[in-house]
Amino acid sequence: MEILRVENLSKIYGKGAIQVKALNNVSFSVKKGEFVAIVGPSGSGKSTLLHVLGGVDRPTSGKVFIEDTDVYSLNESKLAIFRRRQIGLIYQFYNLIPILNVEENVTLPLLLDGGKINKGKLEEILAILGLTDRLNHLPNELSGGQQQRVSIGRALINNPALVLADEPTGNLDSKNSKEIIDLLKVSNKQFNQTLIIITHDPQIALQADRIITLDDGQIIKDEVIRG
Amino acid sequence: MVNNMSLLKNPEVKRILFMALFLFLIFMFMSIAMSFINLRFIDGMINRNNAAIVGFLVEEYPGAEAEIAKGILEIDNSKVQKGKGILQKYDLTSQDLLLEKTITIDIFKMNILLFIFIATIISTSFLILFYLFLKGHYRKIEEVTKYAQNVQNKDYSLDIRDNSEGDISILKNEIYRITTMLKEQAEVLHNDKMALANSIADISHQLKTPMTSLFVINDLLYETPPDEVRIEFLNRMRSQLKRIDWLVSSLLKLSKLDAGTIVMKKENVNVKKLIDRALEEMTIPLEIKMQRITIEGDEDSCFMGDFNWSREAIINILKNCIEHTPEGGSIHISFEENPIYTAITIKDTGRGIEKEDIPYIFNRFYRGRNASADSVGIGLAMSHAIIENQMGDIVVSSEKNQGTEFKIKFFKGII
Repeated sequence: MEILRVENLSKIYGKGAIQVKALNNVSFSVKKGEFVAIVGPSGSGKSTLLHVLGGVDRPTSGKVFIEDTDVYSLNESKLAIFRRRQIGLIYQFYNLIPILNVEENVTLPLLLDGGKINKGKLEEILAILGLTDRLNHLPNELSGGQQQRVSIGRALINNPALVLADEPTGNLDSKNSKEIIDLLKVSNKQFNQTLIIITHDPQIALQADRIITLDDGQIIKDEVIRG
Repeated sequence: MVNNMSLLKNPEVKRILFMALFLFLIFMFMSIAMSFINLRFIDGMINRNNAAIVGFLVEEYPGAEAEIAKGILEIDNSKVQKGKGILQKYDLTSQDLLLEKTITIDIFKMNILLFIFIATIISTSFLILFYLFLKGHYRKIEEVTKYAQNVQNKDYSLDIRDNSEGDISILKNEIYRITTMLKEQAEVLHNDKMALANSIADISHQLKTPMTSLFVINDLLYETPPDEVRIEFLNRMRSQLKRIDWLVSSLLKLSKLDAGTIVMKKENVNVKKLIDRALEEMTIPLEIKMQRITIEGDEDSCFMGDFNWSREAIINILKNCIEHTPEGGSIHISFEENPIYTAITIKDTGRGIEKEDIPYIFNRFYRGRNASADSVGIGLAMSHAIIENQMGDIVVSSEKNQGTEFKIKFFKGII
């Protein structure tokens, strides 16, 4: 089942002579439960693409459909709620709230939504992420790998339609990187979670089901490596 | 939209209306009580005023007591006018200071009317507010009901998510998620049906090959060939029967795995032991091909799983490696345990798997470009099914003419 469809996406920064085409007519679609890696050299438009997919950055032209919703047809406040419920974002630098403890950081999307916290789900996620005994720690009391695990938990807690990760291991050593990728794979399998990850590490890309290669804002290769 | 907004059919609405009525009655009683209090107050004030005037006059004209009382009781309009004039002179006329009992009664009536009016206004405005509020809410609920009915009729095209704040919006979102799940399952079901049809075709085909060969041998045996030829034929028959036997029992295992009728044990499996037991089965083929096995890893590595099924999975992978590695080649097995998973890596020095085949080699009945003549495409599929059933993962990577690496991971975090 199709969960994400991108149609003729373009993102242009600047005007006239200094105009930069970060994305140039990109189209593809992703099925539910797929694990997709987006690779490409620096400046190829990977991060721009992820931001546009995540509803963070409006494209210059083109459309993004997530679960058949035309994301950019929503107004700002609706888009914010849509993002909160349907998209989980994982960043290179974790972006945790320093004054909130692990449990609060993980449940933040639920708290923002005013919804009730499903204890069972929370415990399940924390157990998978190995954070059960760190519930009351603040982010600065955790290692980089642990902080990234918290941000994975935050991305998963709301059962989002789509999890987007922007170089999630870019700031970690190889052992922690491996752990983080494995955890993402577990969530991909366990919850049939659709996952799109940006990376420049070929080892990480090879863990995905499918690799999309970008260059100069265009898809130059799109191959399925696992059926 | 069905617009029979018969809100009253909802018990919550009935209850709230009943409560509003009850409150209205209370307001009425309170209004009457307040009118009484008000009346008493006014009455008291008048009496006090009268007392002040009477007290003063009687002190000045002690004989006029009865006359003054009479003057208050029976008000003479001409005298009232005169009194007003005098009061005006001293700037004491605000309103009618002179009142009689009938006036206080009028005030009382007026008060009661006013209070009841206010009570009615307050109650009805609350009622209207409730009504509008409930109407809005029930319209949303009706929308959800309509949506659910559509979904029951397999119409998944609607989207009820409104991306607003609040519990109703969250409810809509959750219901939409359930729909998505249903949609997905319907799709999986359809794909499964197709896969089943394909599988049956594949199975028939796989059984047909050895059976044709058996028929041919059988025909030849009718012609009573010399003994050594007969033995040869019988041996061939035997090997074909073995093949059918293996195929049928493998299919049976696979179907059990698929149906989930197999309960995988959750025991502590020592990886070293598992590999040793799997290799025992492989002694003969390894000897025939003169291949070397190297094992490396922490002897204490363990995972939670089913020993026998895991052995079956490893055996199938080893079979594949041995088959595709030339004589004198080597197979390297390594394993490790970390807090997240236990991994077993099996690497051969064989001819590798074609890049185009890699995504599909775990698919049932898939035969790669390098598959041997009597390969069925079931061994790796079975390994895959067994490992997935234990919440594990198997990944293959291969380099042409360099070898193939199978990496199995059994994850711990998952219960």
